[in-house]
Amino acid sequence: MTRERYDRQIPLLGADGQERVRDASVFIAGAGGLGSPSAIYLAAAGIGRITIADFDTVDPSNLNRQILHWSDDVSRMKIDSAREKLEKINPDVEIDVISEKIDENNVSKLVGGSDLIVDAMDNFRARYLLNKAAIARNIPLFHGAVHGFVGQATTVIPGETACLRCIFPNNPPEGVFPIIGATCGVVASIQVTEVLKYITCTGTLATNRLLFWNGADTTMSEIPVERDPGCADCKGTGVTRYE
Amino acid sequence: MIIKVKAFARFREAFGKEQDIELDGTATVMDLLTELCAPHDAHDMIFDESGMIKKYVNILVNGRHIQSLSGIKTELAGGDEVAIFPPVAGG
Repeated sequence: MTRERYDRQIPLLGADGQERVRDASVFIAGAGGLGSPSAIYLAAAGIGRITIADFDTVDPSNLNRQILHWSDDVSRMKIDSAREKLEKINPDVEIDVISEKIDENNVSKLVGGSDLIVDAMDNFRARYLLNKAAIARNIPLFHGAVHGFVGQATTVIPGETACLRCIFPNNPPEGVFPIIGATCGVVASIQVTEVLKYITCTGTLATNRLLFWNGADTTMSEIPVERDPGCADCKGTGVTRYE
Repeated sequence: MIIKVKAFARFREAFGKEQDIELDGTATVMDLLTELCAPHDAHDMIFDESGMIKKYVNILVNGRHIQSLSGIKTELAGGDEVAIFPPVAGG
């Protein structure tokens, strides 16, 4: 079944591309609104190993968007719920789960064994930790964030492109905000598309661009972004392409 | 000189999707924001009580956050593109 499973995407990614997808390992930071659709699509696409980290349990208020978790999963650990679903979606994929909260002491170790990082966090404190770890370990970071009907995404190639701190130098306020699940679906789909393109060297990545999805008026737009030569996180690392 | 301003998310409701703002002579980001906010009663979306730009409002000039340039004193040149958008932080 394995080959047949990927019949419709191999024409896009190539047979060797599919093998690269199989050989790839992806760290998904968070099993919530963005992490759920990201993990589902990555598993279905045949990523070799998915490591998903979340320390939380499923709350009824999660169920409108965190589609890895179903009604019967309320009060379960999100990683247990996630593992169960992902293994059923694609038994070929190795699923590793981590029940630790990402902090400055463990972030490097947590992401270190993966080839790519999907940012499915719900706050910028954690995103900055991922950003720094991605730069330190030279791991591409696929950013996504959502709020209400709007979302944003960009792809960070350490040492080459604008990093999260270049684009967003300040930590925005945190809190509970409105959201529909479909917004998460749009943004996570962009992130997964970027991941598959990166792995298979297909298409053009959303690097040095910040994409905005606006579900309220059904528009997608983008702005160019550049590296900050004085960026506290990526200054002096890797290839410096800025003038 | 003409500065192109692009607004995103809820700022689009106040400023519209895209507009050209005409400024005289040497102008800074502060001059632009003052001009931009005037007809829209949107001052509170951008500035705090002390008249400073709210720290989490993202303002980029030609792809660079103004904090990495000269903040509100960043000088603008004709044809510059300024993007304004609120934080989007959820997941």
